Amino acid sequence: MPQAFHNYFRRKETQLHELNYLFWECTQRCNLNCRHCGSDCTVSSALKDMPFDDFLKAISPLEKRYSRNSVFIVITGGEPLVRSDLADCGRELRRHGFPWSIVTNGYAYDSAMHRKLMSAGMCSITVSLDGLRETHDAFRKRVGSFDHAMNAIDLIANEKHLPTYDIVTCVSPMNLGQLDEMKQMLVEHKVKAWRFFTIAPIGRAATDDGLRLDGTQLKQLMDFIVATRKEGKIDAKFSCEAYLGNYDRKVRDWHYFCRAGINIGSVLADGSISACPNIDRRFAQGNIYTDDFLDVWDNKFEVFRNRDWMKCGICANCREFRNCLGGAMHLHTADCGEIMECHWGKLKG
Amino acid sequence: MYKWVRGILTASAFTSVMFIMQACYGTPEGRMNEVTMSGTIIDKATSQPLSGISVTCGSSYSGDYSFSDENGQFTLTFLISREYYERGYFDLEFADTLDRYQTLDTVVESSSKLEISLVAK
Repeated sequence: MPQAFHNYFRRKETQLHELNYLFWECTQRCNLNCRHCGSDCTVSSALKDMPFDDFLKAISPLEKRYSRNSVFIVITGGEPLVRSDLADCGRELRRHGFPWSIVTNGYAYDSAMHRKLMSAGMCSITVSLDGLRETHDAFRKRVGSFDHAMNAIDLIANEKHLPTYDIVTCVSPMNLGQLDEMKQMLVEHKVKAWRFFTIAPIGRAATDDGLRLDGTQLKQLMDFIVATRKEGKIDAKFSCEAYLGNYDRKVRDWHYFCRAGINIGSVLADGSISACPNIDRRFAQGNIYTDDFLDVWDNKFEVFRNRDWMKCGICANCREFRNCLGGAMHLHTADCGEIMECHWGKLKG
Repeated sequence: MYKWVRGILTASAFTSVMFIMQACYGTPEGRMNEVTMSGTIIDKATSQPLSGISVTCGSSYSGDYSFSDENGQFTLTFLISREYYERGYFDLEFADTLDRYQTLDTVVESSSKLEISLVAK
């Protein structure tokens, strides 16, 4: 599809802004302490887990507005598996017509947990894998993390009743050279879908410069994805985190489109209403404990739906702005319009 | 107007990639269809309604199940792939939790009101 048509389609989607994808940050606790975590979560968060009833009450108006199964709930954290009531929450979401999924590091995902979540109607799952054994464990700062993640991946890849899933890898200079070997391993483990991120300078990774790819390394990653897609053994793609110019349609199924606040919303651990959980929390548009979720979704989110404010700094005179609209929302902070990192600029050199 | 077009395109397998969300931070979105089946379960020999029979769908993604009530009636709602949904028939399993009747694994059509007969062991 030509870029011009895509830009028209994106404009229409923005005007309509139907909610299709809703994050629930069910906890800020995590059983790992990863070097590159974008959320800054902790093993024992001072913030208590949100009671499920509070979340359900906040989203119950969605049942009247949208048809069953049209709003997809993504349960995230922290690490969602640290919540002992996770399967009960999922089962109740299904009963109310919300398909649901989790994003997990896989550490606590064993066969008992797999059966429990599948029988509660889990519809999708994403597991993180950040390298071969030593590299992954170093990233995750816990020996054994790799083996736990691979065990989770085996359970998922062999589950015929799971509609979809993927494995995500945060690519850094530490694991870039391992991608070929990782690919071979994942194919051997029957994995069908593999998605790549780069590490954004946010959360714990904000002060760790050694995690970010330079232009040459980013191009190396793009070329690896292009070659893997051509090979066809595994569905490899780059995440929707950035506009990539000529690489855009070669490393994804679709043009770049940051849908944060357009089709994607979130309820964060403290009740804040926002979009993707890795977005600067100062962009929150309301709170479920003081505001009506649908009222906020319908009438606020202007900063997400009109991104002209991003046309500053390096974007001010950039000819690609009409295509990227300032890039992904999580690469901006509330006190500065300028993007933290431009992938297209890096690739261009 | 655009909303209608969007609805039609979303329902079309060919173009649904346009609308399948995958936030950079989230999971792939599992597209699926919801199916509700209902009917009555009876004893084949006596035609008496059977309660406490579990009903599950083998093609379903999720582990949904239901039990027949005292009138032998059941309603089962489950999620299923587009491929199975469009085919229009599903495999259901009827199992007696008290082990008095033989388990029945059968293929049924989506539009039919079911009357299931179980044979005693």
